[in-house]
Amino acid sequence: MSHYQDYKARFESNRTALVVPEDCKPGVPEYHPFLDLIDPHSWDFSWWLRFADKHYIVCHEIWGYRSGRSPLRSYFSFHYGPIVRVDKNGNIERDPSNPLELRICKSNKSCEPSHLHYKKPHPAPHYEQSRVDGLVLNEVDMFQFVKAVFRSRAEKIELDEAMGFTLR
Amino acid sequence: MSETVLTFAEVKIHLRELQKKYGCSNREFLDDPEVRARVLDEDEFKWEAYLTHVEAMREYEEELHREYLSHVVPPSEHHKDEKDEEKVVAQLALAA
Repeated sequence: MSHYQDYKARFESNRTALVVPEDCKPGVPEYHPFLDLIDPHSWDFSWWLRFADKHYIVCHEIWGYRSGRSPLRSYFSFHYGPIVRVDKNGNIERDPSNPLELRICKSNKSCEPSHLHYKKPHPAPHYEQSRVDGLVLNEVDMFQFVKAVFRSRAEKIELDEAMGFTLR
Repeated sequence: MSETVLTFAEVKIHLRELQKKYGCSNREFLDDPEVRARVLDEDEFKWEAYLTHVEAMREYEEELHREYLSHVVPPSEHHKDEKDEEKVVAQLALAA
């Protein structure tokens, strides 16, 4: 099985096991393999989840690999916050200055190491790993993020507690 | 599940659209934090994705090229082989 097929199987397995709260409506996961449907050398992925109280989660990932090497997640962004604006088709429109609860992201291309934004959007300072305890930002998994948001909402606790991190 | 294969032509078109929309190059998008700050979140993700796809394709092409070159016999080796063959033919002719 190819890395891409493994990725899809892992996602579907995690999604099947996920207990989704009643007020959450997960969207259709969107896969974009490049050039090849079976064994692409790169692909991108998006998954949106909406809540009845006009909040949302969006998970974006970009993966690639070279022959003989393990796949590398070159970009990810896991975002949770209120919906500020939707377009005429009902799609959520996002702006870097929109309010947010938590966003964890990384971009290899623009040399942005893994960091998080907590409760304050751009241009508030990013919290890089050196200022975050209890969580390895580079290894955060989308289901770890989604489950923490679910737990935070269900138990009415802050997301830092649900994700298990503290900020310096 | 939605699954759509992206072609190289589509990626090139989308990259041109993004460059036009924000009035900057791919390099500026990657290197200039001020440019990046005004790029909408969805566009940022797509831009990153398209650039990653182009890079992955280039790396794959380079791999293929290296693989091809590793199987090509250098011209000097060809020449040597031809000379060896000529000697054998000459020896066979003498023996006959």
